[in-house]
Amino acid sequence: MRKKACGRGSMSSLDFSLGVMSDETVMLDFDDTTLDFVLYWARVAMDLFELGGFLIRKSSEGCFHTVFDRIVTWKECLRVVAMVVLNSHHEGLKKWFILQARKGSMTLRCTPKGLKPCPVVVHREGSQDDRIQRFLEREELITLIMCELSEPEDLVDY
Amino acid sequence: MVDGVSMYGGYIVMRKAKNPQKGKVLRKKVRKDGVVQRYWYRARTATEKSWAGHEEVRQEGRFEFSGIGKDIYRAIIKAKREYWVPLDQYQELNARDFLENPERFAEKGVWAWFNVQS
Repeated sequence: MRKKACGRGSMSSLDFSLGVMSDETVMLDFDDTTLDFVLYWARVAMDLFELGGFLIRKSSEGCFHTVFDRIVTWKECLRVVAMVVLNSHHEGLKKWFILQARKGSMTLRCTPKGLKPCPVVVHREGSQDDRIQRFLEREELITLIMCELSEPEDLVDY
Repeated sequence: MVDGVSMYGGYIVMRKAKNPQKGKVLRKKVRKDGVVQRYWYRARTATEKSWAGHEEVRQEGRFEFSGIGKDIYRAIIKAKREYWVPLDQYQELNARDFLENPERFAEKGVWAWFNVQS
C-alpha cells in the first residue's frame, strides 16, 4: 500500500467539507470565545451528566470543538447541549444546536474549510477510550480520504 | 443509532428553467456590487445543447454516510469523482446502498466551494 504524508494543516483543495457525525456522542461547537470559557462549560457538563471525559479541539482562532466520552441516547445528547446553550447564553452554539437538532445528529468538521485549517487537539481530560476513541478513528478515515482525493486521478491505483 | 461521516457543502445542478428560450441556457452572474444578473446565452457545443432550456442552480446539501469505514471511504470518493450530489438537503444513507445504487439518493452535479455551516 502506498503511503503518502498528508499535511492536515494545509489548505484544502476539496470543494466540500467532511465531518464526523454521530447521534450518540455529545459534541459542542463554540465560536468566538476563549479556551477558559470552553473548559468551564465542558467541565460543568461532564460533572452534571457524568460524561466521563472530554476532548477539546481548536478549529480556528477563537473557535473550539468539544467531544465527550460517554455513549448517550439522542434524547440525552439534546439535554446536555440544551443545558449548555441555555446557561452559557452563547449565540454561536445556539445556532449550531438548532441546526443539529434539525438534522437529527451532531457533526463536527475535520477538514480545512476556506482559510480555516484542520482542527487540532488542544486539551484532554478524563477517560478517552469510548466515544472519543471512535471519533478519532473516524477522523483518521477522513484524513485517508483527503489523501486519496488530493492525488491526481490518473495516478490512483484501486 | 447513526455514526458516520458527513460530506457537506455547496453544489451546482442543472434544473429546467421556468420560461425557457429555445436553444438557450439561462445563466446567473454575480457582479462585484452583489447584483445578480440573469442572462440567456446560445448553446453552441454538443454538451451545452443538451442542457438547452435549463438553468444552473446553486444549492447546499449533505450526504450523511453511515456504515463501515471501507464503504464510507469508497462512497465519498465515488461521489466526488463521479459528480454525485445529494437529492435532499439532508440525505441520510448507508454507504453500501449508495455504492450499489447511487441514483436512489443522488443526482449529477458539481461540488462547488461556498460557505456552509456544519
